[in-house]
Amino acid sequence: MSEQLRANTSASAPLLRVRGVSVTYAAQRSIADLLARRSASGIVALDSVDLDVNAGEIVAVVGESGSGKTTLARVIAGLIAADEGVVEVEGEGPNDWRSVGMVFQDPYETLDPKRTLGEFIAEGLEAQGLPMDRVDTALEAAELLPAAAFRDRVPEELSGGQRQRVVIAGALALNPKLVIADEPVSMLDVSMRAQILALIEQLRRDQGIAWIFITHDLSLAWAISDRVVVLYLGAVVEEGTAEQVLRNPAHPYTRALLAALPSTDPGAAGTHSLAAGEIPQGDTPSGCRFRNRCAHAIEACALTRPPLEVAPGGGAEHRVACIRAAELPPLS
Amino acid sequence: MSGSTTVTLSTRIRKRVSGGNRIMRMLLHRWDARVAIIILSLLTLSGVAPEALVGPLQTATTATADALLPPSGTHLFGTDDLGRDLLNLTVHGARISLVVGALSAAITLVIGGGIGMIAGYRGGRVDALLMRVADTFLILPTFVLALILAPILRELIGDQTEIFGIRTTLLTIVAVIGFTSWSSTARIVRSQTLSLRERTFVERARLVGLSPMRIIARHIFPNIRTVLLANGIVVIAGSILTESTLSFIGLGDPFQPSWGTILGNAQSAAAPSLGAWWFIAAPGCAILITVVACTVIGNAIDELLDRDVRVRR
Repeated sequence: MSEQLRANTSASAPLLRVRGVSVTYAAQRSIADLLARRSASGIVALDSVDLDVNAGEIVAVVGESGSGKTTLARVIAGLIAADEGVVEVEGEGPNDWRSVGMVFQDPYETLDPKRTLGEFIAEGLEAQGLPMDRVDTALEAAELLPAAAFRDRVPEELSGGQRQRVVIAGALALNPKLVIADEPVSMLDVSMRAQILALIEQLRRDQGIAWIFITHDLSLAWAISDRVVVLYLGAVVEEGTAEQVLRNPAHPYTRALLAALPSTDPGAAGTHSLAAGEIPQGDTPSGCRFRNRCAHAIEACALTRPPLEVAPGGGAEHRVACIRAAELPPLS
Repeated sequence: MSGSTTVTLSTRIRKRVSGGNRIMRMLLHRWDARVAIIILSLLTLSGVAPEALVGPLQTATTATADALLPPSGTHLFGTDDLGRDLLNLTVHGARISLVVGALSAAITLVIGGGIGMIAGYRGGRVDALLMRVADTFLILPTFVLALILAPILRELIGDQTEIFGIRTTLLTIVAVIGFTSWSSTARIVRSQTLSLRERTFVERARLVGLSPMRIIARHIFPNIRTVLLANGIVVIAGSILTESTLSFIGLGDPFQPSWGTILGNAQSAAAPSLGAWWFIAAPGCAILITVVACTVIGNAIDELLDRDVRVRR
């Protein structure tokens, strides 16, 4: 199914095209900086990230907290401007991204406690000059039935899962081609998760909506996505189809993430080593940014930043940024 | 069909309750706020219809009793140096205090709320500029400014001119209090706005293309309404005190006695040395009770808000 979709769309230009996007969060110049006559040290959130999303495709962006996932989402949504690089939706630059919707992590925070659900959905319609009858259509598309019963309710009366459906309805009402979902199910019960995932899948199938699904949970990425992009410290370290990246991970970081998944097999517990330590808080390491947590790092890793190259033994779409990818031991 | 109608109906009711009525209901659960609300209600009644309670305002020519009579069955609060009934004067004085309090609070909330929301939402240079202006007003002592402006404006406009049925002297006081006390409201509102601005629902409103003014009107204002309410009630208390002080030193409206004017009269009639304690007690207690009642309600709302926030986290 996903193969077929890609075959249909890959000939034309991608729906979303992200090229070389970098974002640095400027820090306040501290007194220590002033004394040392340094300029303020910024935090690099994204470092020349490329990303393509085709129409009707679900792309999972995975990584630990601090990897730049949310920053990437906000840049694509147009909430923050990239310091460098281009973001284009259907070939259009900033300010014309009306076809991008967003679903935020916390459904409790996305809905204004003082406003009804109908008002929440109508808000975007009004701002973009769309007809108000789309409120009910959107509620129905998000399976909040009957729509009339939900329109006048306030968020307080809804469960987390229902709230997230309302947020999705709010995005749907604006007729998006692409919706960015930033950890949309991380705050929900497991039973709700499955429903929201099914809804995302269904909206892709029925309305051809492409999704960027941001998550730290590889099992979710596996469950829903066609393609997976692995971010580490603001850079793409591996990308490919879900099958390629998750069945046959080529980057030590992806392998470490996979190994960290709790196993349902009691006998298999504790056989994998986790990546040591946490994401470095200070300056990004030279060369390969993962090298100081990597069990396979050698001196050459510190010298140059490894480019994204076709992974050894994988398809053309499976690319990895590791100079030792070919030498890594095969996964058991 | 009937099921969905019931849902809508019950939620409509709950929605209405969840606004100002919810605050009122929660206030009525506290005994201190309950007492304060009763006091303010009585006060409002005397402000709106003093004639119905104690008859027309007594003047030097219509006074019926002897001078400086202590409290008794016929004159519950005693009489003043002109033989006027102090109960009559005190009840009639409530109107001035309430008008000054309400109007000053309105000016304070409109200016302070508006500037605070704009500064907090826009941030950056707009914020820096507006907050420096607010700081400038913050260091101006309300009372001293009123002391200087009140006689000047009275001289310029005259005693007898009326605007909307309120004498200009009173309006001067209202304007001075309003213009000097908005800055602290602006600071409170700004800090609330700063944290609201970072909330996801505001970010989402920005994402779908809502203009800043609409975001302020739809998302910021409804969420700081109760904070404004609490602040407004405290401003009313402050305004009543300032008005009393100005009237006490003779800068009030001589034709419409307020509690401060009565206190001023007591002072010039040498009531303390004559042992006429009731002359001071009647207006003094009125001021005290009103200000305490306002403060109690303001604090109660503040505490309820705090609890609201804690419950939500």
